[in-house]
Amino acid sequence: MPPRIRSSQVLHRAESSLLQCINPTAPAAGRPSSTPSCSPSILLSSSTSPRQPSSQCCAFQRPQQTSSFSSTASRDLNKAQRNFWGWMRSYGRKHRDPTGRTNYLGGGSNPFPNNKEFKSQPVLSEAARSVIYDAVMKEGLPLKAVSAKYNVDMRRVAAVVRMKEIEKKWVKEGKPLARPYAKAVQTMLPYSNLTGEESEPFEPINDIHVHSYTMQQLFLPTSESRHFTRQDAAKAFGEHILAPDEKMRIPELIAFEKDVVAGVANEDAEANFFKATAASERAIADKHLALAQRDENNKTRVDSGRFEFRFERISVDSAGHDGRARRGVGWRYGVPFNDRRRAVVKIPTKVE
Amino acid sequence: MVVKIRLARFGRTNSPFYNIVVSHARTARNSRPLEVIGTYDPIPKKDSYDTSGKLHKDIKLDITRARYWIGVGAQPTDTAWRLLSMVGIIEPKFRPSTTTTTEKKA
Amino acid sequence: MKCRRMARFHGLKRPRVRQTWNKYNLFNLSRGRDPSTTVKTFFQQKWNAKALTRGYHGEHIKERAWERMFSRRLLSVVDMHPEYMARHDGSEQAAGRGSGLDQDHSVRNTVTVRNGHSTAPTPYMQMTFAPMERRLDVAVFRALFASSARQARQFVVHGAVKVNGMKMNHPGYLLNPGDMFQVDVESVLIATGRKKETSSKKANSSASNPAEEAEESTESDVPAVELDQEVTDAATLKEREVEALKKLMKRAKSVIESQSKEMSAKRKKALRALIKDVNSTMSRVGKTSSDNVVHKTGDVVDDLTMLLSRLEVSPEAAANAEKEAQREAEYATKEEQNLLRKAIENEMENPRDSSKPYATPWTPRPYMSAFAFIPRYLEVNQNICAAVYLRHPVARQGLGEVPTPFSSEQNQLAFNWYLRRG
Repeated sequence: MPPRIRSSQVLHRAESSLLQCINPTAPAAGRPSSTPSCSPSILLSSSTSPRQPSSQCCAFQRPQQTSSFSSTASRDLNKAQRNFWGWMRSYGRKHRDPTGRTNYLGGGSNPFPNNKEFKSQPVLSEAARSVIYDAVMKEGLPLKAVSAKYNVDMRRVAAVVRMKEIEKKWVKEGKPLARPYAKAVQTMLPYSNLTGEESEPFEPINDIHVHSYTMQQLFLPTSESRHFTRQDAAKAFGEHILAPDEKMRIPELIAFEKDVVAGVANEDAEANFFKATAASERAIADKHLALAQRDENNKTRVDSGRFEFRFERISVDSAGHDGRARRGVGWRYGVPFNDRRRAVVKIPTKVE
Repeated sequence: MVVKIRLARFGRTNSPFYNIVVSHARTARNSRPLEVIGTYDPIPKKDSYDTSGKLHKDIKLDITRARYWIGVGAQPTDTAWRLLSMVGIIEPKFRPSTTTTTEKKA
Repeated sequence: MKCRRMARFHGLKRPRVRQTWNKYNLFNLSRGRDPSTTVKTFFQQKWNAKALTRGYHGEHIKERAWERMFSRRLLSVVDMHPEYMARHDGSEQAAGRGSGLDQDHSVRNTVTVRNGHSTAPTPYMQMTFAPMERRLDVAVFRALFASSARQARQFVVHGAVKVNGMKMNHPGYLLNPGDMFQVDVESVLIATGRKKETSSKKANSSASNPAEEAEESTESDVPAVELDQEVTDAATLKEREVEALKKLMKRAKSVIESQSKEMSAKRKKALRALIKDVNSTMSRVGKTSSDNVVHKTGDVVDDLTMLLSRLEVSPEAAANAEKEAQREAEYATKEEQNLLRKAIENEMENPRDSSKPYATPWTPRPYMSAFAFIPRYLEVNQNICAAVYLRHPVARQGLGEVPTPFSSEQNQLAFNWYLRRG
């Protein structure tokens, strides 16, 4: 749009809306402060004692809207409604708009006053997300290394990169992002910038799942002189139970710490760690690539202009000697197909 | 009796799915065939995250068995002929417009 | 029957906490206390707890469906410390128990103190409704893309949600770890944005509730003040606008003529619509009479932003427009240009657009901030309205990841209720 269409006044207005957009809580010109105008005594009585004289309650009564077409007197509010509106004017008011930081009922980081065990934990800020994206995509660090460096779960690192890629693609295509929404959400949530200045690490990265076999106490008589390690304990719980060392998400961290204990210089230990994590990731990637390649080799793609026909090679032998084997290709003969039976879940279980 | 290579319609209303079968010409369409040599899903599918809008159809086929049955004189129906000709088992019957983009190295 | 239930959805007499961002819900949440257990049998306690908790957790899901989903297996994790594991193989915890050796917890303790929650018990009972959080509709609500679970469900059913890039219209789809779901951006803006005020309501607002008047008048006041000043400049503004619009139209026509062969039908259609719009805008600018100049110029600005957004669709036209704009802007001062650029950027990002079904420029709906949190098992990118379901929610020391407004006791009673059936 040619700029000369807009006069400076238009500009002025656009500017003020810019301000509001950046910080929706910023008071616009002429906006009254949002503090409740009730006196403290009334405020107290409305919340603590439900049995209060009705005259006092009238202070909170919702003003009746006059309808031009109706002469019927509108009904009075009942007690519950009076309490509600009283609360809305006093305590409820401060939860109406974002305050720039968390604005929960329980205060601090607790959105549910009755549930002390749930906390609204910080989420990654946009800056933190780009830091992670750059570390993975530009510096080429292994995911495990990024995870260990910033104390962010490996799966989260992968998710951040995955979604950032899509975001970049959108920007490239000129698809509009939900910027106003993202900015507004940022004013409501606790955020972590991953600058390393926070007192706590972002999240634990070495969680291991508690197997249900290990949830009961187990008394295992053994000789006192026996060197009873974690591996032995795992075996005692069950043959197939893995020791924590094998369940670690980043087992290379243990090797790193062992290096440190053995007196290896910190730089060398770190270099070893990077090498090990890179190697493990390469191995996984190679495996996936090999699988994909195998599938691709098994396929012939024929382009007919409108559609691409993908021919997958199969073997008729997979149907078994009677032609009824489950692995057989195609609709099976002589076997009921129960896809429409009652109580069979028809919702897909995975999307690839 | 003539042995045919043809499609047997399975699936549901409005969601067809075909077995590519070898069977005697006079038997019912969905009766047990001599052999099921593949499947044909005629509903075009989209790849995840694919924005090009190009759709694909999935076919499974045992090419060796198909060649064998053609070799012993099985007669493909027109539709089956079209599918078999795409992978080069027989010469295309109608218009040779299809081109194989990525042929697997045998 | 459904209507009766919906009427009491946020009732004040028999309050139930719901999965919504409603202000009544906030009030009910604020005064919710655990029901007293002194005079109730165990069965009654369980019954009440079940009713309360199910009113929040998937109240739109049939009881039978939830009973099938319920699992007595409560997931939990333990944070292991590589520092400790590298130095000890676990034998020190078993060694010398009989001979009275003290356990050496020095390493472990330093680590656990750093991570906090070292001594707190694991709140297993808060995981009672963990299977619910796997549902697609609940996850969409948890990711702050919808203002209630029911709305999230509607988004899914109406095809606004994609899972791993494919449209998924089953709200009961159980997300697998690693699944990414995307919600249509417009739907999210509708769900989380402030409601659009109808013109009749705007007129009434000054006469209604004084408290709400103070809140709502801010939006309507600000433009009014500025628009007064705008009237004076309207005449000169008008001339410029007409001139610019004419140029814009000419350009669009030339684009169509010159590239009619290469252009797709869609783009041609967009350009033609653009020309039509410019025409109507021009005629409106021309007609503005003195008494309602204020109104019209506001509309013109709205229209221009719409034109702008449409220009963006066709890159050739956009490039042309930018060049033209640069040439024309030479008369303006540097400061004005900067301001203008900023304003345009802002307008592009958060435009005033009367055609949108929510109030523009977009602002979050009231009381959203009191409910806004994102649990750790989701990673959300708000820019593209997408989220990844990283893993199932788990309990760890001192922390249950399932967002539930109820205390551990209530959840435990509910768990006991379903144990009988699950």
